Amino acid sequence: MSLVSIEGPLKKVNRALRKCRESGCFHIMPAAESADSSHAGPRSFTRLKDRNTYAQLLKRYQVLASRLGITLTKSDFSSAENMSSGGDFDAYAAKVEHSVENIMKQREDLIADADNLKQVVRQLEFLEGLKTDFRDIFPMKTVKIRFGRITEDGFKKFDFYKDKPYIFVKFKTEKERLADYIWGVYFTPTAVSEEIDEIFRSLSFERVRMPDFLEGKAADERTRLISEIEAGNKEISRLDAEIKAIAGRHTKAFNSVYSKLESLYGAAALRQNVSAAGSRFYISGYVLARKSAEFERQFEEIGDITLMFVPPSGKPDDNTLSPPVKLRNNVIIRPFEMFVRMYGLPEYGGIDPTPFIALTYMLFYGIMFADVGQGLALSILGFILAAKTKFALAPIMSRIGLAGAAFGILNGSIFGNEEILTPFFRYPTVYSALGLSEAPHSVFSVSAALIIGTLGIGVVMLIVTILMNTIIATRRGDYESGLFGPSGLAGFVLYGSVIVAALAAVTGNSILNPVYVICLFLLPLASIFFKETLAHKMKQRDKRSKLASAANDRRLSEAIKRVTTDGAVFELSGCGYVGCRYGSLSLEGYGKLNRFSSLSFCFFPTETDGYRVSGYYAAPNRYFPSTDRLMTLLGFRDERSPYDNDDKKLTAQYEPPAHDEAAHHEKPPLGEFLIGGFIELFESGLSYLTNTVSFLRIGGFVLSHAGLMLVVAILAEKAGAELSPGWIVVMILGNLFVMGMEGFLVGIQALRLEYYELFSRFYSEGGKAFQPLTADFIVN
Amino acid sequence: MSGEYGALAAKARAIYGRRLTAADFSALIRKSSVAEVMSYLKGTPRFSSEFASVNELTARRAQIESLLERSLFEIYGRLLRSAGGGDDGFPKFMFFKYELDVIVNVSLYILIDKQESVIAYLPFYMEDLLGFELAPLGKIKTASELPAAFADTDYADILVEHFGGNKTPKVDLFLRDMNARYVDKMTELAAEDISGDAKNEVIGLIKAQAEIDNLLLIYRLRSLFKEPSTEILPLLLPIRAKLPKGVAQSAANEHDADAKVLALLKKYYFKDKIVCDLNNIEVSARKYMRDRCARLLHMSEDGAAVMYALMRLLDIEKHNVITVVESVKYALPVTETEKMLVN
Repeated sequence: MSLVSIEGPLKKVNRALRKCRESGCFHIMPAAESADSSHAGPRSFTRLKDRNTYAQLLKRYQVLASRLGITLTKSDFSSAENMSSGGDFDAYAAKVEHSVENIMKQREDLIADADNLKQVVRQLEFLEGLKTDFRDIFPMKTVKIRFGRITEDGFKKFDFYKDKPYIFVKFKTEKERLADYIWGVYFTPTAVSEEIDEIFRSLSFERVRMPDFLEGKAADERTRLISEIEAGNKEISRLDAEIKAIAGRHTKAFNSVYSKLESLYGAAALRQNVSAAGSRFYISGYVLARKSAEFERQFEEIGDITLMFVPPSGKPDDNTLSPPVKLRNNVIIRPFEMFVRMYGLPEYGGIDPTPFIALTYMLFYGIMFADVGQGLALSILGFILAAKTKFALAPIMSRIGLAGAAFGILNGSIFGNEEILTPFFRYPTVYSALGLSEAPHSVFSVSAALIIGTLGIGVVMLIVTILMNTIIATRRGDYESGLFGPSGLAGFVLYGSVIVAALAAVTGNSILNPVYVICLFLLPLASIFFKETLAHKMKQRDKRSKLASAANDRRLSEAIKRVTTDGAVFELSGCGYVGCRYGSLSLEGYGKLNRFSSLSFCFFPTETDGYRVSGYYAAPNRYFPSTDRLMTLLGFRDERSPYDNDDKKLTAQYEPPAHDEAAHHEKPPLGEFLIGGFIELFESGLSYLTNTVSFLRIGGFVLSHAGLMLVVAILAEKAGAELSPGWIVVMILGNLFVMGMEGFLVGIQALRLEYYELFSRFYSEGGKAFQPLTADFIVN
Repeated sequence: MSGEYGALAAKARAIYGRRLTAADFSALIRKSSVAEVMSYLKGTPRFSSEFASVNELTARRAQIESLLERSLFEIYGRLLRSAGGGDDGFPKFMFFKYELDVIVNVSLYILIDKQESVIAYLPFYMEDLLGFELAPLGKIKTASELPAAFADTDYADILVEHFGGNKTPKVDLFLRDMNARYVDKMTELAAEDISGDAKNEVIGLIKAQAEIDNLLLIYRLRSLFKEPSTEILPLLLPIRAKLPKGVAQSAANEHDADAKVLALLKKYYFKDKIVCDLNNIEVSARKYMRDRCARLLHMSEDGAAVMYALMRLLDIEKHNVITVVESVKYALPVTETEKMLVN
């Protein structure tokens, strides 16, 4: 993975972003701004925050496509290559819209009419009890007529107004969820209609206004309107066909233009990840190291674009600018990356646990799901699902199924039948080693040995993970975990010696003596107890050597002959003209500088307040913008130099910062330290025990599989003679049930072993995924 | 006894799970008309069936409030039926609430000579559950007829005291006595019928609400209406929850009573968990009750207690929806409406 900084003139930023998208191997980073605006100098970076001018156009095209029934697909847009301004896209959209404008208008009017008619039809349905023609009702002058509905609750209240001059005619009841509405019409003299209307309003009568084009009886009018709606629908269908034909003529060109627009939109949407300083833009991100050259070539055609690549050191503790992580595994174990991603990706430069999880998961699953027939069936199902769907578990199913089948051979089980193959416990060497004189009938006869065997697997697994953690954590500089912790070297000695002592005791030998106990029990225990203190001592020593190394860049100061801070240009021996800037870096940023020692710039520290290191950085002019970018990412703040016109002070000797973690390392009170230490010791001891015992589940599932298949066999026998239809049906259903239930449970239990018993001992996640930009449609 | 209602808890939590979310309210307050609000509500899982038959184009605020009230009644009825109905235990707490509401509303309409509003208001859908008939209430003309109409209720003596004879009724004192009786009745019911921690929590909630109501009353009357403390003190409910004895009363006597009330609410109720100033004191009080009820709903194993918490939470949701409808109707700025919502 290479960190790349792309720099160029601001007017070419969209083209550069398009190249980034199309490369398919560029992981963009958020734009860096000057860390503190109050310290921002004249060349401080700002993030581009302008509006995406293509957003409205894109929406317009999507709406237009939807109206025309065009399916948007990514297309070659070479024919639209010349289109780039909003006006170009606007004009094309207007042209397409104009070609269907009249038809669309007709269609929309017809739909609006149909909707209105449907509303009236729905209302007429409730007025079917009205036996009078509308033409006789509407012209009445002395009587007001109100159609509508009222809740049952309101209807009950009519009794209070018996003496009022109105007549309510109930038509039909609509059974509703909340309120049972009653449809009807009331008649009232025009002279008192206001009072009656008020009463009905207070009773929540909802008036429905009937259109004046109704003439006959409600039922007849309803039928007539339904016919009109159907006629309208036919006309709409005819127009749809016409629109489809026109759209068909536009589809290819439309998709081409849309693809170009989408490409511009996508690039513009990335502008928020771009920094600008003056008239130059800066984009940062990560590129796969093997694709760096190919990536760089893509920018050649744009011109005046500079790319600066910085390969991270790859040290496990190098989280400089946090490079993203891309897991790379072969096709067999790649599906198991899903489990790693679920738990959390490793840090950049850390260990990828995928091969480990693939191997151990298949081992655990295979032992627990040991059946040739069921394993192969699961595997075939996995292969089919993987080929037909994107189900992420399918490729894993195909592999663990094969593991189950392989262990099934050892277990001698084919769909629960143990007669065709010879199970391992019937091998003479096995059962005689277990002290049996004849081959046992079933696995239950050797259950004790099986349980002990699975405990053995647990012990081996834990020792392996403790050793892995010892190596990984020590490389990372985490001595507390790697050397002195319960999952480190001390833990390995303690756990290993306890296991050896236990084995010796079981076999009748006693190896416990004072030397053994002191060296192999008490010393590791003391190490675990004092792990924090011991690790701190080692870190102090380590830090002193790192600071000394960081301070070595003072040698560059000897090359500086003259400094003018206002012009930011000075002569550097052997380098011609360079740019220079004064400011300060955090101690952390300063500590990371030596990781970029291969680049053409230097940092000259002048002083420190214990928290930040002030000084100058300088680089040849052509690399200066890139250096600016890098320094900003490292948290450099532009500041006004206190040494203006006083170049003598530049030779001031830099001393390693006085600020040290040691000074801030607070020791807890003795009581708290002792209690905390003992609790932690107890927890560590308990975790060895529980983690080991947890592996018993492997043996447990071997026995449960045998038990379940025994039940299936008994049920099949009761259903009929062997190979009879009843027997076959029960065997198939039984096997399907066992496969479904056991396959699911075993999958979860194996994953639990991985995550809780193994990963927790050696694996620390914290990486972020490498997510390259793609040129796929981001809005569709 | 409340153990019999244990099965209610899961159902109540499921109903609460369908509540309107913060995202829903965020979308609702940005609607430009009541019709749009109704249309949105009809599309939510919470109200899709309840509002299915509502014509959003003609929906009015009063109708919406009535429908929300009806919705709560339906939910309560469903829960009660699933609890076996007919029991007189704590799950019947809403009966007292409904009785209180009907008596108070009818009384107030009669006192202001709005007999026709009584008819419009009468909730016939809940008639079967109430301890009195609704139809005769529509014929009441004077306050002196009220005691007879509600003679069979737990509030009969209060009605006689305030409306019997030829006395001039004092509405504020009538409301205080009614609310105090309601709180007493609820507390008594919870003490008898709920056990364990749930009992303490429910009683605590009922009393806390009463005490907060007292403080808000002081705040309103002193800060907004500049009433003297002599007018305020008789209106306070004789109930105490967290505040030491006499503290609420002494706050009413203070010159800066509103600041004192705010300080008391912060000290005894809101702590550092709810940010509150004088501008949002009532909303903060509802937020406090929302948090406590939500905790009770999720943590309690007692079905009756969970049911109580649910009804309180749905009542807050109802309040939110009405706030949204009014805000949209009167085109209040979104930022102002947001401050009034409890979500």
